[in-house]
Amino acid sequence: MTSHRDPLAVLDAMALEHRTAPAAAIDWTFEVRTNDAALGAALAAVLQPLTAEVTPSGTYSVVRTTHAGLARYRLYRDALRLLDCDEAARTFHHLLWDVNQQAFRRSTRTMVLHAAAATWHGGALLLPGESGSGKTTLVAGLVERGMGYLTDEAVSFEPGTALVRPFPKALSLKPGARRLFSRARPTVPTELDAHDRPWHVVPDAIRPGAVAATAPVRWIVLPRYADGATTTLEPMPRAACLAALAGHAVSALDRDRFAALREVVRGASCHRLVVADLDDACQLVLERVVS
Amino acid sequence: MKLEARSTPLPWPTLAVEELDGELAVLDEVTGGAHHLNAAATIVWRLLDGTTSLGAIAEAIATAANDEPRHVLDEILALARDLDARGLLAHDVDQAAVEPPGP
Repeated sequence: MTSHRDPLAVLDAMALEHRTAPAAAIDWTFEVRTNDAALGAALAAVLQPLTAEVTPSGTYSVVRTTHAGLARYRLYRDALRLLDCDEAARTFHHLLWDVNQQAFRRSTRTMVLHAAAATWHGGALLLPGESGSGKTTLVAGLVERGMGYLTDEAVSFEPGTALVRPFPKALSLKPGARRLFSRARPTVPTELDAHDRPWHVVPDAIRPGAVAATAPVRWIVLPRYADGATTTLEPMPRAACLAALAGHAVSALDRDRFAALREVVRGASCHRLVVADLDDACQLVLERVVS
Repeated sequence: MKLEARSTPLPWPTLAVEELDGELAVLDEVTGGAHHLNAAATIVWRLLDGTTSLGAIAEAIATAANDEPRHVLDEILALARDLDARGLLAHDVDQAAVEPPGP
């Protein structure tokens, strides 16, 4: 007869002494523990902007084992094993990816959009876009030039309002955008700095004190990266913006949430932005949208 | 069925419709698709009631706008067919067009 022990109880009994502070990714609250000091320190640094006074509803555990001189990493979310591999970098990036996924999936009470967001004089600018639209690069450029940082990935609203809640995660700068922000290069251990994976840049590395507070939506700009094109900005009708925004909702919209999204758009000016050059794009946003 | 001047379509009843600045955003909750209707399309959309034909709508708009009726009808047919292709309209299926002839 075989007996199975609860995996979480096994993890609880292990000496995973390196812990991050409790953190909140929208409605997903969690902490991380590991027996790998370097990995724990890197995760603590990257997750620091999400630190919150919450009781975590979940725990990531990263267990490093060594056998015959070879390291192995196992990543768990509570009792669920997410990854078993021999790369610290892969474990590091997978954990951060999972934090984002849980932020999307567990935000049942609030409406969440795939969008970056920044603030200017108390108003919020939304930059909706799918992966590859250039929204992270654009928001990083705007923050570098003085705007406040809310998120580069997921916008959530205070229920029943157009108030954007901060989700100030580290910005995920893809390899193609690194040259634009080389001075913000994260200081992570060599084994975590894979050339083909994004940099996770804390907002303070873009500009100290960049993280902003909750703000009402005043501007919506739909960016589209187009290599070799001309950077252009043009106004768009609010109804077209609403239809586009609906396409960026993380979970399916019903008519009530569609109506709520209308209220978000109703008070905003709306533009389309083709981004070929970051300097030009930032200048257009700062001079012709938020000014 | 291809929509013609005598067709009497109406907006699909389960769509969520929101107006902003005289234009519409339309959400199909089933597919999750959202669509934008400009000001001209919004005027036509509001006249689609399931009993008024596209031809009659074209006549009314042509008269109001002092425009050429044939031109207006062509524009409205193109719009209605586009809306239909996006699954936004309900209308009778022309049985004669889809059923094989009897023995």
